[in-house]
Amino acid sequence: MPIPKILVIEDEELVRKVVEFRLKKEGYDVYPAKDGGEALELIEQHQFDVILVDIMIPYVGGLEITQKVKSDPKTASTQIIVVSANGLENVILEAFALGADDFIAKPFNLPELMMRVKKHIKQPVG
Amino acid sequence: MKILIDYIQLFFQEFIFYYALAVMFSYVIIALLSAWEMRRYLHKNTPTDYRNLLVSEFAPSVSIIAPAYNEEPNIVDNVRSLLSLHYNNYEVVVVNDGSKDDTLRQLIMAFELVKVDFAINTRIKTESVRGIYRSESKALERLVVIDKENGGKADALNAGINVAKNDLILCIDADCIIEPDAVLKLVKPFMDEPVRVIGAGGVVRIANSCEVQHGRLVKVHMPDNLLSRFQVLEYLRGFLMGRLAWSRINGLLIVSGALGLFDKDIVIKAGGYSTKTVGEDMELIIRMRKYMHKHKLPYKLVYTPEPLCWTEAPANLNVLGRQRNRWSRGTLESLLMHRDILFNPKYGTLGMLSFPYWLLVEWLGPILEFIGLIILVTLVALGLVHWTYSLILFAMVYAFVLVISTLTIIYEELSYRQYTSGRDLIKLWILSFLEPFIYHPLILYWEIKGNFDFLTGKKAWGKMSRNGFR
Amino acid sequence: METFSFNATFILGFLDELPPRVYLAFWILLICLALFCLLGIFLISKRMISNYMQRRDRYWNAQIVEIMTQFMVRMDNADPADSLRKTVHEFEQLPLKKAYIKQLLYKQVINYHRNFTGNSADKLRDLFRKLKLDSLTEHKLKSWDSSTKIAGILEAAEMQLENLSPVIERLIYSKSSEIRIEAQTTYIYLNKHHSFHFLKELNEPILEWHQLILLNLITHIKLKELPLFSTWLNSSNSSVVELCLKLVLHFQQFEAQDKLIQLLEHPDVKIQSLAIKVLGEFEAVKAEESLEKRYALVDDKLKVDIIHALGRIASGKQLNFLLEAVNSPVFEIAFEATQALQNHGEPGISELRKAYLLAPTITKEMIEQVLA
Repeated sequence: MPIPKILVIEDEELVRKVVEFRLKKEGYDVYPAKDGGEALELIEQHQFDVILVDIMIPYVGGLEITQKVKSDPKTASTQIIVVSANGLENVILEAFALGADDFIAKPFNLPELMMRVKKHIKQPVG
Repeated sequence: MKILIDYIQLFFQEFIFYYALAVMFSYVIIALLSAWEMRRYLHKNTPTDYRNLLVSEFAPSVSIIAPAYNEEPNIVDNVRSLLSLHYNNYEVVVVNDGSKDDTLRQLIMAFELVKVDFAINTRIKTESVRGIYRSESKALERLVVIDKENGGKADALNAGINVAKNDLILCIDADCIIEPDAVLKLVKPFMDEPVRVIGAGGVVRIANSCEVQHGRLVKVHMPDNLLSRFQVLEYLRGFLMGRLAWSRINGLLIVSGALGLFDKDIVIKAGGYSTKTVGEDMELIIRMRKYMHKHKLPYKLVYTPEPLCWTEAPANLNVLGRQRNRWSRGTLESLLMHRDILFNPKYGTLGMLSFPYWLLVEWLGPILEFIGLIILVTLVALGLVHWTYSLILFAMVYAFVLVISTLTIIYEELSYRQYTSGRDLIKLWILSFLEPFIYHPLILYWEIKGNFDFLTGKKAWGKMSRNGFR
Repeated sequence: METFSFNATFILGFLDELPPRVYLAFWILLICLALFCLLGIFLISKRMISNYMQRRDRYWNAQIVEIMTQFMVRMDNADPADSLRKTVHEFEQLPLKKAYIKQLLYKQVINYHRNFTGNSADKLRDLFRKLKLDSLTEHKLKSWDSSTKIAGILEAAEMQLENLSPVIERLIYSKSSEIRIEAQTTYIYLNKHHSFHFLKELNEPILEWHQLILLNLITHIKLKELPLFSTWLNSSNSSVVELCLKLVLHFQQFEAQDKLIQLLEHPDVKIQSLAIKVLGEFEAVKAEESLEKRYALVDDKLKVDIIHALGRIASGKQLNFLLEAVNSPVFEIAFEATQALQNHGEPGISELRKAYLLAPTITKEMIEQVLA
């Protein structure tokens, strides 16, 4: 089995770094992106297994990325975990309606995030 | 003839001298008030955790209204940056004001827009609306695009207000770069004042030569172009000194058209933006304040000193000249339209302080200066100038201007410190030495011309051509 | 000496000859020049000092972030105590005796804590205490400067420093209302018990901003026992009622329904509006009649609220009432009524379809928009 590729889209450097290094420690191939523009470029170039995406990121929002990835047949199988500082009901429902596979509210618990990532890698859809 | 000249000289010497002293004195007061207000603001908001507002289900709802006219090169990037602001409860209403270029098509393509059925609540009359567009993508639900016949910025804003569904409206220029936290920082004053807040403005800065990436400002630089550089100093002084002080005593007469958050209800009750003036932003504020006074409702207009909005300043003489000409016509128009406020105690600070100040200092100042210059030239020609005295008088004014400019730079240095490179700071400081000789005469000329054009009934708008960022 | 006295007399003589205006101008000129020099020196030195401090801070921050990231990455290792010890040891290698470095560390740990919860946050709090950073918070709480004090209170809440709760309790009686409210909230938060009695004693208005902060805190702590917030709904302090309405809504305390119905007649319009909203969210069928009765007596804004609430309740008993409202000349009312009917599902929609045939253009547009 090839090394799973994970894209981490997060504009807050502190969180991005911690998540990036933590995932690397688990042995994943991790790509960080600080805004939606960077993320879309990376998505063009690589086939990711899991994308962790914050909703409020510059340029192209997290929800739009979710929708783009899920509506493109080439990338539809990528698992998307939406991260948001805003755990309001409407935001969560919207995220799932757009095809997100999981949702985690910020601030989050690092071990929990790791478990979720692991789970989504083990059972790829499609 | 000799008597006439004597009288003119007397007028020049006595009246203008004491007028200048009074203006200088008012600047000192303004500088002190600004310092006080800045301190208060920083003191109050430094420990604030704006995330409280971000995650709350009770955060006020905001409609951002962005009128766009021939903005094809930037429109998509700018709307994208509006869609990714740090706020939850908001919508973005983009108004295509009958652009002659492909502004609308760019939007339709980038955001997968389709025309929708929409019942418009026409509370303010506008040019006819050709259609309302929304995105097919569920991720872009907060975007609404209005396509309408051309009617100018004020008309476009009004159309936006009619469509906006939220209680607060943020009126912006579509070509500005808005800081991601701008809405959070402008909404807060609406919640933490004991009286009703009807509007809040933020500081506008100059974006020329700054690094912009994906519609967001990443690094602040001093503009390369000298003319824009002068405007940096001018904007700093206007916002950090002028408006902040007026905000302190609740005497603001103007909230920049580039960024202002308003109570929609009051805007509508006051009648919306006027399409009959070129100074619609100032005129609306006056009308809103008038409305509140007439109905005896306590209120406040506030200003946050934070740099929340970056705009591209005109970089050539022609465009700048047209802009300033328009500004001075707009000011004069607004002041004349509401002349009943002047010295009317019914309007409190507005009538007794703000209005007289605008009339006697902001409007009369340039005119007196111009007259003074003419007299000076005449006296020189007649050989009647006492050079030593003139030199002392001139040096006094110059030294005073230097003090005020330096103080402005210090305010910036102590608060937000946007020009982080030392060279930029030095450049800014050197500019304040040159300003009175190079930039100020230009501005003076345009202001006088604006007044002249107003009196002769010229109504041209002055188009602003843009190159786009990057 | 000779030349000096010559100069002095010359200048004095020169000054004496000046007309009063120019004389005054001369002095203002001198004052301005002096001021200008002072300000210039201040500006340059300020910039140099802050540049130096920034460079220094950047250097130490990079070191701190490095260690912190390491700590975060290895914290759920097999032996958590060991990783904590290691990190503390690493930090102790830094010259923490220097106050500014300790300040930087303090800010960073809090910053990390803000972004994580659960196990990660627990570990960060352990680290905070092990490094004795809470002494800095205590210091802040005792500062004379109110904004520093508030910052201290907020940080104590963030890091859940229960040991500081006695210090914070004293601040509840502070002279500044700003400090009082923050202290009050934090005190409840730290003690996790519902001493909401202050709501009863509160006489001054709670600003909307403070309501928001209170709400966020109250809704985020796991209180041992949740009080019935309807208890304070008859407070004479409008802002307390407002706050409690929001809490009742958030915690879905349906028991409050009867009191909510009473509040429909509250003198404060803002409270009426909120009460209507909460009744709507609760889908309180038993409030329908009272809402309908109030409708005739209130202004257009509240009418819209009432119709919105009836649309949420959607019992089906109000179809005729809503249909009538669809024909209201007030746009907002008509539009809200159209939406309310659409909310009713099939019965409402079929009524709208029927109404469409006879409706004026603007109403047709509304129905088209809502049913699209």
